[in-house]
Amino acid sequence: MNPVQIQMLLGQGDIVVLELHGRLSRDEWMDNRDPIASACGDDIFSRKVMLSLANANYLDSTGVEWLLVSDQKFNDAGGKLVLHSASRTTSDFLKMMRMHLVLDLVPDEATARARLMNYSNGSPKNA
Amino acid sequence: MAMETTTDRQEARGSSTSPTFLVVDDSPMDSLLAGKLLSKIEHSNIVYAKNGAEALELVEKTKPNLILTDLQMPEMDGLELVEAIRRRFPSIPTILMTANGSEDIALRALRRGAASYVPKRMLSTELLEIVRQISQVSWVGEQQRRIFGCWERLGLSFRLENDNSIIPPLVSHLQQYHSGIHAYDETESIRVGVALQEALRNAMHHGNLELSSEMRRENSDSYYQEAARRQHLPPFDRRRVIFTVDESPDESCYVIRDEGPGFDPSSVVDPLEGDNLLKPCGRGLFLIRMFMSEVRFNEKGNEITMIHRRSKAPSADTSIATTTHP
Repeated sequence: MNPVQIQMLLGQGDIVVLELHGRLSRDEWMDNRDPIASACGDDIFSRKVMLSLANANYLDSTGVEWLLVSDQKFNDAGGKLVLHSASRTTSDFLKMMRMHLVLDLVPDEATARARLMNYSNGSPKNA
Repeated sequence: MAMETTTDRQEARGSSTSPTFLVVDDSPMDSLLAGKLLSKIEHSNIVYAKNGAEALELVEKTKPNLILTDLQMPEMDGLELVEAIRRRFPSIPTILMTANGSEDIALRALRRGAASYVPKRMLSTELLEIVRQISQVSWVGEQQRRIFGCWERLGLSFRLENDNSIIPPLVSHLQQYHSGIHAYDETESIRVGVALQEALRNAMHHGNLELSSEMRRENSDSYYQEAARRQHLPPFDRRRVIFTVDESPDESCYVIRDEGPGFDPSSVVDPLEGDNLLKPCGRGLFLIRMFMSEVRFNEKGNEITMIHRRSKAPSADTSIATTTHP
């Protein structure tokens, strides 16, 4: 199968650019390590991050849950996660689950970048 | 504009014993050469066209087994012809004849649906072997279509341990059956796959391993660590998930039974209501109910029956938000 992988691209300023590839499901995680932390280190959650879902080719309830947990980790650490460029199928799936009400989900990279540029890093909630 | 139908394919279209080949080339000399080579195949019939437009008319009349076409032609070139044949007569393979230096175009044509290509300078040495290989593949495909047109029922049964990593390849295996025996569009196949994955995981984690979704609320990593731990501990290690599949042309019936204590399905929260959006429970069952035509539990709550009824017409709208069940 095609377990989820996070690829870090060249960042822009204080914005970290990530791409997600593969199947967004915990059924295929080989270990318990969070994919974002595994790719970028634990301090990533205090940064401003735009994550492309364009290459996510599968999503289930565990994947949705991981997105929620990740979003919460960013909130708690004072960072910000913006999801963008989901395919029609993935986007419809997330909207069906009403995740557009709780996650920052935008249609494209430019909108994601603009959203993050206007965001000021908050203080970690658990500091 | 006529499209190839199942009936068309089933007619004696240049049978495998008396094949009909269509040669498409605006050069009379090249056409004759290709035709002469193909006529070495026993009982073959050769028909000719000077360009793609003429070829399409002849395809409707003669139903060839295979098309051999030049690339550069007036009115409709080889690339356009390949696309048109792929669209209208997808079971007829097309082979391209390429001139020197046009291999890049040939690769483009392959991506658009051509079965193969042969450089013109190598026709006399390569053509017959390529035709033989393509014809063999085409014949196998045709026979498979005939077989899938005859099947009435398929039953499968699996006995699974509580390792959720088996779920994705198992579901993928079933989807391969679906692609052969059903006219699933990709979205429908994905939806069924998601529902099955959710139901199998529920049976393993919540049913057999008795893990509560509330554990994920506290720490999702420890939930999965506990799942891995319980797989090898009594009494959980002896419990299995029994998964049966009953396929017929109009519907698929999936039954998943775990060997745990069962549960009350009515106790599952609606994951779309208010604060529940952020809770780690209820989404799996929500998705199962969204993507299956019918869902029911046994009285104990350790067996789920899911029925997916085939859409009668191809879905033009691939939006998952369309939730009407047939």
